[in-house]
Amino acid sequence: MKGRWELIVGAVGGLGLLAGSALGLWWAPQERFMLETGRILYVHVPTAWLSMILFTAAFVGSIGWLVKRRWGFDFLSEASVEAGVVLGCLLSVQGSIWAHWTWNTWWAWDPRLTSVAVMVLSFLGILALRSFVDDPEKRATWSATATIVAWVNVPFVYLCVKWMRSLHQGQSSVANIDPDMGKVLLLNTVAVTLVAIYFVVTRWRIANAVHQREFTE
Amino acid sequence: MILLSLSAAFAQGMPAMHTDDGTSHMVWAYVATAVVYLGYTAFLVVRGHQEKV
Repeated sequence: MKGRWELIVGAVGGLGLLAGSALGLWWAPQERFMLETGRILYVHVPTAWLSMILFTAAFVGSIGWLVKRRWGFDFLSEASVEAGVVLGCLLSVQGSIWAHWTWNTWWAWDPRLTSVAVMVLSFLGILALRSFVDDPEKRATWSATATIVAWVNVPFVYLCVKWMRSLHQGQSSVANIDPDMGKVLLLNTVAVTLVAIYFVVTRWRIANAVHQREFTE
Repeated sequence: MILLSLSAAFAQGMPAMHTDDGTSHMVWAYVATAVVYLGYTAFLVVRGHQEKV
């Protein structure tokens, strides 16, 4: 337990997310068109941002592994892909619930929804790939290559609502919404970032422990 | 293009067609969020305990 600084980071993030969600539910104003479903924004948008940031961290870790051959980069990639997939699945569920009320459908073959589905499924495939390969070096190299290929879609996920006509609204940020809504969104974004740091660092330590065991067995 | 414009305009008008204000949808989204964040944290705690980290 000694030196587990990420526990404090995770606890602060968790409390921040709890506070931000409470403010989003009871303090922030109701959205004009989306009414109560507009409050999903405070958890949906930070989850979306962080899933894309985590996949980008995995991309950096993959390049690091291929260039430097240091195991820490492979652990970063493994941890970030797993946490990114968890948040990516949650993102899709939140979006689907929101869509059911606003669009009257759980799913639409819209550029944003489709590219998110491709993103989550491709990184889920990388997790499956990791579980199939026994040799640690081959596993790290193959999954790093696949991660770099899968990451190419991430900027498209972010920008497709600008580039293409989409049912999905444009990017929400603290700059283009009501100031009170922006404060809650900012708080939850910082909180989810801290929680994501806890996820990645803890998962990194687990990957390191598994690696040590693999080499001693 | 015309169909997309129509569907976007239709989507914008959707709230007026609802009889509820979306509270139950909002609650389900927050429940799903809590389940996933707490669930993955619990998974990491258990896995970390197993691997003695």
